[in-house]
Parts: sequence; structure tokens; C-alpha cells
Amino acid sequence: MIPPVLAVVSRSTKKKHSEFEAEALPHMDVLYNFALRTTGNEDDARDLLQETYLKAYRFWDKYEKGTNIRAWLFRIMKNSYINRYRKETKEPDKVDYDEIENFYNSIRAESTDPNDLQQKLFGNLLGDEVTKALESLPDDFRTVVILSDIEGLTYEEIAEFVECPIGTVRSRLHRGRKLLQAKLYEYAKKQGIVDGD
Amino acid sequence: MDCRSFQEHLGDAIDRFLPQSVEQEFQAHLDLCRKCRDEFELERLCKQVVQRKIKRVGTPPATQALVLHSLQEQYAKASSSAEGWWDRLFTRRALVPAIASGLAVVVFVLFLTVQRDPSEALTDHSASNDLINQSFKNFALVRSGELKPDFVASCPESVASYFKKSSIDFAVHVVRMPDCEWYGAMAVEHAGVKMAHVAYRTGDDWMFVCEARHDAVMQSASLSLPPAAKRALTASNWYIDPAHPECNVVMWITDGVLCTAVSTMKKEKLLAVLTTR
Repeated sequence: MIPPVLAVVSRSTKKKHSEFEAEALPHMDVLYNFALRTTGNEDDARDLLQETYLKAYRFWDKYEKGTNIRAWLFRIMKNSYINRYRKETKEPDKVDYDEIENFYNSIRAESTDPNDLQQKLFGNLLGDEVTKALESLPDDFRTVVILSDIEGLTYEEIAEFVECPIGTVRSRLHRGRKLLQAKLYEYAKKQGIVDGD
Repeated sequence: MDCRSFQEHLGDAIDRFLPQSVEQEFQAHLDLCRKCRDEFELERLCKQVVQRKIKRVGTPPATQALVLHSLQEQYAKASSSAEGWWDRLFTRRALVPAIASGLAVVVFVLFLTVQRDPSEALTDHSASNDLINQSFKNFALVRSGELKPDFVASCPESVASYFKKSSIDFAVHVVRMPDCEWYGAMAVEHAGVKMAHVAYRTGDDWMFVCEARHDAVMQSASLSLPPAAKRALTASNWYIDPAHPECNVVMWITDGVLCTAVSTMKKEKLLAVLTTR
């Protein structure tokens, strides 16, 4: 059990604390989900979430009231993740467009009924396989796919979150999804859902 | 529209941000070009697969508690270094329990002298719309994890701020508990009566408090109170319910707000906590 903390209250910090909690804590689930999909395990997600909130609390004075608090928290989490994990993880995979092109060609060659084939392709995949495929994407691509397809953010919001132009968001999303298709296709081949070439 | 232009708008179309001005051209190309159509369908399917297979999860309670605890530690550190003599006077660890115990004794004596009623019918509240029953059910759901608060924080002021921003139109009284691990909050409306629910977790103990305007509860055709509770609240603003031996239920009125607390805490401890408000 977590030992109790006797919170000795001073009026000068009470306001800051309650403001912070009221503004920042409602976004915990969004941040946790992002941390979980980014780190790939609950322990690291928990640590990353804790670090994010502690940093945000420490730098609460720097937060510009009225601006997008979720984007601010997200950027803190993203930077914490980069500082904490990037040294430990391998460099992002190079995007192999030849492989993706081959993938499209093989799909087209097998595609007598596109709708049926596509459903057959990805419809039988398990959640774990899709999660693994997503986690294996390079950071920048994975981030925009999560924010768009899981969190349902608009391009404008994502651009604010990741601090890059909307055009870059579009491009990363498109390339991320292409990579994801290739990964999912590999899983489908391994499982025998589709015939490999 | 050619293939290159189609590719530029592909993501917009999948994410439903395609400008109206190019919708027709895009659709025309989609109908004509097999290569682009396949790519469009695959990318759309890919998005659907991610949405269907990867479910959003809630923050695990242990992780939530850890974050709140860390914030509480930071808060305590900052507060203890900044407090003045006036703050120290009123936050003395011995002073607060002493006042609380004294008030608890007063409330308990009031309870003994005013509440006791030999008629069982007076305390009967088996009706499903009974406020105590409803609070008891919600308390059980919060404890089992089936009912998750909309907002969780480490200090009562944060919960009060949350309610200020919600639809609740009265001042919610959030009890400060020195060893509370987290405070949970929900703003709901039941049969036209706005209700603020506050959950408290402290060690192995739980407390759930439902607050609503007293007059709104009394006027509501959809909410009821046992006759004994009505009488006691009118006489002393306090009522301790004897019908739930497995936990303690206390009702009180403050500033026109009727509060119903259900807790696993022992009666004396619960009263001590409630009277430090």
C-alpha cells in the first residue's frame, strides 16, 4: 500500500495545485493510452505517465492558460519518452518502399474480389498482432497513426501536438499506414490467412 | 484528377477532411482507376482495423494512484516550505484531530438523543428511489470498480474546481482527508435533480458522498427518504442510518445541500472525518 502523505496545506500553493489537477488530470487516460502504445508495456507506460505529470506539475507556471493543455501535456510526454527511451531502443527502421510496392502488387494479383480479399486479409487478425504491428512502426509514424486513428484527432490538432506542419502530418500518416499494411500483411501471410508469394 | 493529385487527397478522403470542391473529381477518379481504388480501400481498411482491434483502455487504478501520490508529495513539499505561522497554527497534526473528536462526540450525542425511534417503519427505506439506497448502490459500484469516477484528483480543491466547471449549480462540499489516496468525482442528473458524487479512498476504507440541493430532493417525485431521516434532518440537520450494518450511512444538511455519506469507516472515525469539514 502506498504510505499516506500528510499534505500540509498552504494557501499559496493550494490554488496552483487545484488548478493543475483540474486542468491536467482529466487527460490521464489519453496520455496513458499513448504511453502504452508507444512503450509497448504497462510498466514503462506507468513510469512515463508519472514522469510526464511530475514534469508538468513542476513547470505549470510555464503553461500558457487557455491554450491546448492536452497538446502541452502530450509534448512533455513525447520529450520524456525521447529522453528516456531513445538511447535504449534501436534507431527507427528505414522505410522499405520496395517491400510495400511488392505488397500492393501481390494484393492486386490475388484480388479477384477486392472487398472480400481485403476483409479476409486484415479481418481475421487478432488485436495483439495489430498492436505489435503498430508498436513496430518508427516513432514519428506511429505517433500520428495513434493520434489520428485511435484518439480521433484532426490534422490540425495533431500538427499542434507534434509541432510540425499539417502537410507533414498528412505525409507521415499516409506513410505510417502503408507501413502498417505491410506489417499486417506479413502477419496474415504467417497465419496462412493469405497465400504468400 | 490524375493519380498524383488523387494520392495527395487520399488521406483527407479517408479521414473525412476532403474539401467539397474536389469531392466529385476524387470520386470520379476512384471509380475509374483500379490502382488508386485498391490503394484507397487498403488504406481505409487499415484505419478501420486499427480502430477496431486496438481498444482504448482506462488508466489502471494502481497507476492512477501512483500519479496522484507523486503529485501529493510534490504538493506537500511545496506547501511545507511555503507555509506561514497562521497556516501552521491550523494545520497542527494534534489540533485538527482534537477538534474533530470533539465535534464527533457532539454529533454522536445528538444522534443518541434525537435519532432513536422505536418504529421500524420510520427507518424503512426499501424503495428503489430511496436516496440512501441509491447512494449505497453507487458506493458498492465504485468499490467494485464498475463505476469509474469521471475525474480523479489528489486534493479536495481540485474536485471542487471540477464541480465548478460542471453542470452542478451548488457549492459541493469536499471533505479533506489527510491520508486520502485519491478523490473521485462525478456530476450527474437524476430525475431532474443535479447530484455531485464524491468518492474517497483512504487505505482500506472507502467513502462515497452524494450531494444535492435539499429542496430539490424534497420536491422531487422520483427521490425519497425514510421518514426517520426526514424528521432527524429537520430537527438536527443530521441523520445516521441504522439499516446498513455492513457500513455506515450518515446524512447531513449544510448550506442547503443534502449530503449522504456511505462508508466502510467505523462510525466514530467517519463522524470525525465529516465534522472536520
